[in-house]
Order: sequence, then structure tokens, then C-alpha cells
Amino acid sequence: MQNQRTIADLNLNETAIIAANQQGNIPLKLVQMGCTSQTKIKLRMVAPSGDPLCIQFGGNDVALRLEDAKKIAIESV
Amino acid sequence: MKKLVLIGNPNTGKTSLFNALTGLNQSTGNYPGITVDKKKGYFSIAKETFELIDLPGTYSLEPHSLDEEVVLQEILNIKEPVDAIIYISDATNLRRNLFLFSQIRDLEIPCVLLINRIDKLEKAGIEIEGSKIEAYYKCPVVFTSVTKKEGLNSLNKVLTELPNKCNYSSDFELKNKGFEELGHLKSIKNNYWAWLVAHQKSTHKLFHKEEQIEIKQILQSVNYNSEELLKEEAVDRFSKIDILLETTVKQTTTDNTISRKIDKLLTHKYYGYLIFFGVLFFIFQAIYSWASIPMEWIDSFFGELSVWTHTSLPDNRINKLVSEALIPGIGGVVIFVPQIALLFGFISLLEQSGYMSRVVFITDRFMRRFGLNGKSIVPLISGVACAIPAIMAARNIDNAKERLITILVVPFMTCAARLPVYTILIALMIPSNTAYGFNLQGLILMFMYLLGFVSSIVASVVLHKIIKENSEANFIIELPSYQIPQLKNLLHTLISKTKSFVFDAGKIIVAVSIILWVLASFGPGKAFNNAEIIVENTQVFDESNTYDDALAAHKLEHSYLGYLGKGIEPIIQPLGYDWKIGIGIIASFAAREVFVGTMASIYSVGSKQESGKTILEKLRQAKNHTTGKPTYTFAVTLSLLIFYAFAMQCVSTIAIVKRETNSWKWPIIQTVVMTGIAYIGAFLTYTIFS
Repeated sequence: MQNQRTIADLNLNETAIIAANQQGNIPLKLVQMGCTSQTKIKLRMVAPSGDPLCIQFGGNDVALRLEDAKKIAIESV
Repeated sequence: MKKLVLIGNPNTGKTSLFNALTGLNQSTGNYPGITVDKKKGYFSIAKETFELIDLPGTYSLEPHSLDEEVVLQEILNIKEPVDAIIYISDATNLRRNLFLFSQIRDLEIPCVLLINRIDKLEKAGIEIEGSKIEAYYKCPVVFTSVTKKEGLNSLNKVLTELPNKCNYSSDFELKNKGFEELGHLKSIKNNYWAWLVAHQKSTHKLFHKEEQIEIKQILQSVNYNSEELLKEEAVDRFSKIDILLETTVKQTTTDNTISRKIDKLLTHKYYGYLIFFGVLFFIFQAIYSWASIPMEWIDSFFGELSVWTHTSLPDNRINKLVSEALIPGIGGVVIFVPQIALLFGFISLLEQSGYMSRVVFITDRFMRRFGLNGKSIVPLISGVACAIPAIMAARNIDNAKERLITILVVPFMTCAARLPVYTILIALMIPSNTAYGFNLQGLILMFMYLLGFVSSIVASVVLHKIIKENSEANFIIELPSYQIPQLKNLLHTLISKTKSFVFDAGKIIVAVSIILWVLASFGPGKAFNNAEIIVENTQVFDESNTYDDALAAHKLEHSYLGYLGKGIEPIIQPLGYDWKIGIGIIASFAAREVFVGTMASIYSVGSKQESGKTILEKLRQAKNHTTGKPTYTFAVTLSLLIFYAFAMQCVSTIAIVKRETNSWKWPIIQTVVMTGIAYIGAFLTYTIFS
């Protein structure tokens, strides 16, 4: 797919699901916190300079850098 | 005695539990090889004594930082095996917390699952069926709220009933047939141990020599992608946890609205930074104004103690050693305690409340521009107190390159040890007066702090370009919900950190004071040993040049220290310094604050009537022996300030950088480069202003 949206494209407070087969693109630490393909996420906060981003999944608020967020494809709910 | 370890995710109340169980009966040591603090404590229940080791918080058994590496090192300890594990989890986020627990459980070491923070459950709309979880994992489950002191009795009961052997067997499946070979080794207990060994090279050194060789051989014949397999493991574990939670946990709401509201303010485009600078401003104001009162007490206490010992002990060399070297040396360490304790206190408050991770969040982008990391902000800020704990605080930076740069630039920050030097030099340079309503001395001091910060940032940019080390570690941090800090935890960190400063840095400072005193009190040849006769025969005495003063000055000039100072005089003359300042600079390479004490000794060793005169007055009157003009001119003082801002003058910092980078290369480069910058900077300053 050409125009696949990523976490970086989410609007504030928008909810989405991490697309299938994204395991390779999600950092190991994030996977071990419970964020994998099919996990429902929400863009919670954006740092003042637009980077890093803070996503929410389950009861976690986790910050990741824009460059990592751009690699993780999402699907709308 | 049973050996227990305490494991859990960060921000689950682990520290509170450790403090609640062990009280003040704890100690901090070091892990061999790596310098992560090892927190140990003892407690007993019904005559049975337990040793409890507090491990750094981690999300998985795969270490992402140096701090986390310790966890594996401790629980796979073959020489002193762990008897049982206390696993603490956060009731409001069981899914993530059970991931690490499921790994721990597969180790087949008896363990207890603590579900903590149950006081938050009602508000979060969560209901947990503990008995079903207990039945599923076959491990005792205890509900607690450590801060509310709930459930601790049940925990004690469970601990006394702990089995010696694990009463279930793990069903962990190796995803690669090649790893099965590892299971034949005696020290590898089961599949999961084999899995950890296969994926974590750092565990190999824990095994016996022969086994290490075998492990290496087995793994060489297997072809695998560690990261892929570990992700598969995580997905498997979470799918099992999800099935378990479906039947055991009922959750109605998920949002912590209070935290959200606070976040909106604290990470706001403008207010976020404004509040951050406000907090910093408050901390520094507090450190300098609150600490100054106890510091004065300490100062006068040690001053009087030294006079008292001098007059009440018989007048001999031991008397002088104690009253002129030992007591002022110890005093010089203790005087920093109020400032350092306050700083550690504030940092602990910021960390406990959850604010620190917000600071990391809003500063990461800015810091990254300079090759640093949002997490570098903690070491940099701590560097204002002391580079030693600050460099140690860099351990939780996952990215190796960003961590190295942080370690290398922290010593540029204006540490507390520079403060007494700056204070006295600034007072020498300009009289205390106000201009346009500002205190001029305070303004210069602020400039020096800014200079320290700017230099560390510039140094980072340069290092970022030079260092070619590649490291792929991602920046992933949790933003935990806000907590009200616990006073007990605050006091515990404050005491243990201050203690380690006093004893680690203190040893060196006291040793140096004694060496300096010896060097200043003894000298080679006739010029020193016949000082009395020489002075009497060659000088005329009057009120401005008493016999005692002249003798003291003559002795110092011809002592070992005097010759040392004169030896480096040609090198420091271009900076405007004489041999007396040279002595101060030599002494400062042990620790910067030694400068003030050394100057005091140089201008007063041996003279007894001078107690009324302050060091400042003495320095003002000092004359350069070649020019005959006052030594401390504006240009010299400013050049000294610049020298002290940049020079790497601290043995303890050099030692800690060596330990943290595990090489002599970086501390040597750091020392040479920083001191080089100091020399050039001081030379330029002196040339321009004189």
C-alpha cells in the first residue's frame, strides 16, 4: 500500500489499530510492554516541538520518537 | 537465611515496599564489574531472617539498559542462588505487569505475586479475581497497598510458608530446536533458562568456564534472529495473559482524568517550559539560600573544633596534623552535605511524582539536536550538585552513544565543588555592590553557571560529530500517572545518596588534605630546616612583617609544596599566576574545592594570631613576588575563574568515568581536552584583560 497511515499521522486523541504484520517495525521494548499488531492505540500527547509522541494502549502512556512512529503502520477503527 | 529478590516494572511501588519491609536495615553496594548500585536489606518474620535485594525496575528480562542488566545477573546467579522472588505488580495495569511476571515464573524459582495499589482499583473501576490468578499460575497472590500499609501481614505469612522448591513446572517452549542442546548443561535448569542464555550474551559470564565454552559452541551452530524470536515470545505471552485477564479482571473505565489534566498543563507549548524553568529556578534558589544556614554552622563548628584541638592537645606534629589537616579536611567534605542532600531530595521528589518523565518528554527533541537524549537532562541537572552521582544517573540511557556523550559532558556543568572557588574569586574580583538593582556578584555567578551549561551543550555537538559509535537503541519511555511522593522514600534516597557522597568523595578529599599538609610542612635542605636562623638574620621585622609571618612564608616557599608550585610556575605564568596559585591548582586536581583550603594554608600556615583575618583579606593583600604588585588583579581572577570552569580537576570524577565507560581511554581524553580548553581559555582571558 502506498498511502498507509502511520502513528505519526494520527490526530490528537484519535484512536486506531496497529496494522497486521508490523512486528518487525515496532521496537522490542514497545512489544514487550504489550504494543503489537492489532493493539488499539490512541495518540495522547505530542511534545511541543511535534516530537516525541505519546501513545496510549491499555493502561500505558508511552512516549516514542517521531522517526520510530513513522515506521509503524495503522488502520482506522 | 533466605535470599529474596524484589522485581517489578518501574513505578509499581517497589521502592516503597523495599523500605516498608527492611526499614533502615539496608545498605548500598556495587555489582562487580558494572557499577549499578546494589540495594540490600534485611528483615525477619517469626525468628526467620530474610535478605532482600532490590533490583532496578524493568519491563522484561531482556535488558535494554545497564541498569536492567543487573536483574538477569542476580536471578541467574549460580554461585549464590536466589531462594525466592517477590514480584510486585501494579493492579491498575496488570496486563503489562504480568508479562514480566510470566517470564519470572518460567524460571521455576519459588515466587510470590503481589498485586499492589489496590487502593486505586475502585476509582479506576477495576475488579480482580485473585484466586483465579493464583490457580492459573500456581503461585501465591497477595493484594497490597504498600503506601496504605495494607496486605503486608498477608505477605509476611506467605513468605514464611514459601516452599523451598518450585511446585509447578514451566511449559515454556523453545522456538528453535537448536537451543535444546543447551538444556544438557548442568547449570541450565529448564527451557526458559536456555532461552535467556541463547538471547543474552551478558549471561554467559555467570556460568562456569567449561560451560561457557560449551554454550558458545552450541550457539555458534544455531542460526537465529534474536529480536524476531523475542518479539514472538512477547506476542505469545500477551495472548495467554489476555485469555487469563478476560475471566479475572473487569474494567469499566481506563482514563486517569486527573493525570490528563496535569499533563495538558505540564507538557503545554509555553507553560510546560515555563513551569520547568520555574521548578529549576526554585530548586537552585532553595539549594543556595536554604543550605547556606547549616553550611555556616558546619563551617564555624569545624573552625572552632580545629582551634580547640590545637590549644588542648600537646603542641607537636600530631596536633598540627589533626588541627591543620584532618579536621579542616573533613569539614571541607561535610560542608557540602546540605547542598547535596537538598539536590538529591528535589530530584527524588521529581522522579517519584512522575514529573521527571514529562521533563524528558518535552526536552528530548531539543537535547537530541546536540547528540543528547531527553534522559540526559537528569544527569545534566544533577551535575550542578556533583558530577559523580550525575554520571551514574546516565545509566538509564539505553542508547550507548548518547549515554557516552552525556558522561563526557557532565563535568562541564558547574558542580557544587566549584561554588566555593567561584565565590571567593568573584568576591576578589568585584566588590559586593548593586547595579540597576542587581547584585553584581550574583550576576557573575549566574554567568558562570550559564557558561557551564553552554559548554556542555557545545561539547555534545562536537562529540556527536566525532564519535562514530553506532547504536540502534530506541527511545521509549513510560509516562506514569502522577503520584504523591512518599516522605519515607524521599528520606531513604536522601540518606543513602548523601552517605555515598560523603564516604566516596570524602575519602579522597581528606587524603589530599593530609598529603598537602605533609608537603607544606616538610622541605628538603637547609633553606627549610634552618628557616628560623635564616629568617632572623636576613629580615627586618615590624608590625606589617612579623617574625611569625615571615617564618611561615619562608618555610612554605622552601617546602616540597613550594618547590612543586615553583616547578610549574613557568607553565602558568602566561595565565598571570604565581607559584602560590600554582600550588592551589595542583591541589585542585584532587578536588576543586581544595583550592580555597589550600589558599588559606598558603597564606596562613603556622601563623596563630591571624584568626581574625579572613582568607579574602589575605588574598587581597597578596603580592606577586616577581612584579611586587597585587597578585589577584581583575585579569588574574577572571582568568582563574575561566580555568576552573573548564579544567577537569576531580580525581573522583575521573575514577567514575573510568568505571562507567569501562576504559581508560575516555577519562584520559576528557581530562586532557578539558584541561587544554581551560589553559587556552585562561590564557586568552588574561591576555585580553591585562
